[in-house]
Amino acid sequence: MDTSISGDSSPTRPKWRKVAYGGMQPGFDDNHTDETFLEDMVMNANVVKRNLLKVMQDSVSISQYLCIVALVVLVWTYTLRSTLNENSLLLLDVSLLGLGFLTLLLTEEMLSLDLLLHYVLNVSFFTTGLFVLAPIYQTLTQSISSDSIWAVTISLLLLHLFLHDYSGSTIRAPGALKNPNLTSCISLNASIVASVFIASRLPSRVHVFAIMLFSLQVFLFAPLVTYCIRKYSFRLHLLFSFGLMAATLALVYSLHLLLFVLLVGMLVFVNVLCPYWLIRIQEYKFEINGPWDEAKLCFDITD
Amino acid sequence: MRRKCRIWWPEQLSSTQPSSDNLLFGWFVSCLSDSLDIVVAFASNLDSSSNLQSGLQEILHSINGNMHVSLQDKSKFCLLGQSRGSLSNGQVFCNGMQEDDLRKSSDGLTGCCRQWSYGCLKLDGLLEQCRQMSTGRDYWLELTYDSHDLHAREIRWIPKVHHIHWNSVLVSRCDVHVIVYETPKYGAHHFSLRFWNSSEHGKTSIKKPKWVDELHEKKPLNDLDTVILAINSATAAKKIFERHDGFRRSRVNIPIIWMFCAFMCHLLAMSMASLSTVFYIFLQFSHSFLNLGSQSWVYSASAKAFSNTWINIRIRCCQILYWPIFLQDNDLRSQSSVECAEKVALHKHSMWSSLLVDILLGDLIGLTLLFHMESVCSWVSNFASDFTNELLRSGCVWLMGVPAGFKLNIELAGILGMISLNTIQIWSTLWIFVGSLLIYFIKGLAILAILFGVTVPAALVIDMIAIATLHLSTLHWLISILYSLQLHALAALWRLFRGRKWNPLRQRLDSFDYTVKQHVVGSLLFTPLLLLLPTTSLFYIFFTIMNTAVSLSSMFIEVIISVIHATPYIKIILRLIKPRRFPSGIWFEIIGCQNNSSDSPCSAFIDKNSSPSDGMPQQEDESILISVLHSNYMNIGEAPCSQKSFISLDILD
Repeated sequence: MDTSISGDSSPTRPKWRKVAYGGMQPGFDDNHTDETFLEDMVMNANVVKRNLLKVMQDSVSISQYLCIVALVVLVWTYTLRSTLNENSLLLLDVSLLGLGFLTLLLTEEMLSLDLLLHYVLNVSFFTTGLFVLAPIYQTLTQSISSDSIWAVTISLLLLHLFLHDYSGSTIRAPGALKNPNLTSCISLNASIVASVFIASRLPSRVHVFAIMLFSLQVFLFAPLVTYCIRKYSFRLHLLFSFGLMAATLALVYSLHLLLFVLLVGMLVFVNVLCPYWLIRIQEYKFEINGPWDEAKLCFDITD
Repeated sequence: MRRKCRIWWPEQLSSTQPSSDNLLFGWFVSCLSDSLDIVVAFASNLDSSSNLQSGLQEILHSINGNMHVSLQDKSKFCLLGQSRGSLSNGQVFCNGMQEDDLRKSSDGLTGCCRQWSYGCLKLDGLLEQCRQMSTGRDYWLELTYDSHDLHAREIRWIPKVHHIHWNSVLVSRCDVHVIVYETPKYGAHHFSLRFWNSSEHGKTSIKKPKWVDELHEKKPLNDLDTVILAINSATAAKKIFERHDGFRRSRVNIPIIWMFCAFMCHLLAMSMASLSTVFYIFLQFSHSFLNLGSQSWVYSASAKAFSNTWINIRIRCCQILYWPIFLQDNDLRSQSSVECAEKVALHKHSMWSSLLVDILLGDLIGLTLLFHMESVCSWVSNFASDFTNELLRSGCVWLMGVPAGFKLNIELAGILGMISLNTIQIWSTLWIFVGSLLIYFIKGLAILAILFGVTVPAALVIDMIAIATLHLSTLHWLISILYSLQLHALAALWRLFRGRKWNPLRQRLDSFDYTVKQHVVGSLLFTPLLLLLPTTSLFYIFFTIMNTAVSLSSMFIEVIISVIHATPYIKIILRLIKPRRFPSGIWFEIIGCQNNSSDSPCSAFIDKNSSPSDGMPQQEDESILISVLHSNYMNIGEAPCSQKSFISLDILD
């Protein structure tokens, strides 16, 4: 309207300035924009450019964790069927503990003696606590029917998988940057309660103690170990994951065909379909940033 | 404005023909400047009281000193005026005087008396007193009589105001409301404005409609409290007056039998007092002897255990020690107001009547217990063993199994059940020894009941029940601690799962980051606490029911004790025998009104159109309203009447 009249406006009319103060500028509308409009706009500034291979490689950690959980369920099933007896379970626990410590020693750069001591202390604390609580857990759910127990366990495991923190690990080395957020803690709680429910179905105290120790070891420390492996070397991580997936598939195949098919489907879905889908819909991503955004305060200042 | 005055007239002055001039004694109560309440207490004949003219001032002063304090503040007892017997048409007695002369003269009291004393020799002495008393008073009343035949109520003569000296103004035309009342006597009846059991500053708790509050905001037109107080004190004033009068005349011979009775009463009182003193000394010694061991925990523990019994024994001892005061029978005569005297007497009587009823009941129950001691003993032991075996033990065993279809945790139920069963077993073993002493205990209860009344052994029974069920209350206490701890822990752990924490300072939930270790331990503990909750709650419910049943029975006995203590026996009996002694409010029965224009009694409604429009005062209609004062009597369960009654003087206009 104003600009279409003529180029030479009256010399007394000042130039329009893009300022936030001063009130209405004479001769211009309230919503007047000039040619520098939106020149500061940045599009898709924070969008990560992805390619398929990278995404597929990253999704391996999700499927690796899925396999770990599947292995845990497998052990539970064998124990409930009395295929595994308590001695072999205890052996499994001890070996897993040793393996985990070994991996940590090998892969952690800044490993010191007091850190090791800290880990040993925590592990012994948990072991003692579990030993004391085992008799209580043994008869906890005798009055509840088995179907309710399976249903509760499966729903709690699903909750655990849903809320799990796949990028890092809930338990970190002391001195880690970020605190675990609430959802990862809730997922941990869900997994522990699920393992308590399963443990209460077992016949004797030693069974209960062994299975609780096993479940707690895996759920608490497995993310830490895999995180350390991933940090150490990516190839090792990939190797480890594939080996784990193969072992899981073999064991599930020998257990039940339907579960095998389900697991294969899940792995394919997570590893192949989801990255492809992500890349496909990435094209539609359109972020606008500009000087009009709210200022974000940065809390992650480490001294 | 026409001045208004109300004359409160005793009934006995109206029933007989007034033969001669009488001096009227009573109170003037004035609230507003143009209305006056004249309470006439009694009338004294001028003939017989001629020799007390010299000491009239002292007599009036002594009567005034005996009155109630609030009455003394509001109004002094004084000589009101005089009433003259006259002819039925109400003519002025004075000879040769014109009425308008009298009205026009406003030179005060002495002038009036001079007019009146024309030809009247009797009034010479009165003149002196009039002069003496005219300095300090504002009112003087002159009445005549008028016949008014109302045979239904034996009211024959109605006073008619001749004139009133009102603050040195002679007023002979004013609106008069004559209210006839029956003089209250102690033991017969009295008047009261308040509900019969409300306190002096009584307030009603019922919800009043709004117009009552608006009515209360209006300024009251008269001071009814003082008037009713004056009416109630009329008899006392008359007695003191007659005492002074009789003292002057002669000493009347008191019959010997009265003196003998008074002497015997005093002797009885003294003996009761000494007996009670001995009793009191004995009680104090035992109390101080018990106090010797008061530092030890045994004493304090037993004091706490037997608290009910101790309280009731103390009440009983205080009541017993009150006897001499009752028999002394003072203060009754010295209460001048009949209302106050009745209240004090009721208070005293209620004390000994409750004691009497208590002891009678105690005797009854004690004798019954003594005769049926063995059967009572066996019944008690059977009941105790039934309670322990059938209820407690079977209940615990039932809970350890599958109670009511609930599948409890076997281990926890087993632990809790075994603890309870062991406790019950230990307790019943201990009480086997006590069981042999049961017969002596019941005998002691019976003797206590006979001596002290039924409330003391009932309190002892309550305490013994509490001691005998100590194991039950301990178990209940323990299980409730466990249950509440479990619930609190569950709530805290649930907050942990939500990432919240209770802030006791701000009384709210804040978000909080727990560490991973806290999360792990929390979830490890949450599951057993949650799954063990039904077991604990079932045990808790069972023990609560048992404990509540025992407490209810104790409470029932306590309620009985309170009912025995608190029932007003004497008030109920007196209400049935003599309902007139419990007034609750007054009402006026209008029995007639008279206009001077027409001499015949007319209906109560006065035609308002007859109010004067011209300024001639002698053609105004004088109106007299006559009503009788009645008392409302209380009904049991009736709502209280309004405390203030408003006499609207508009009806006299």
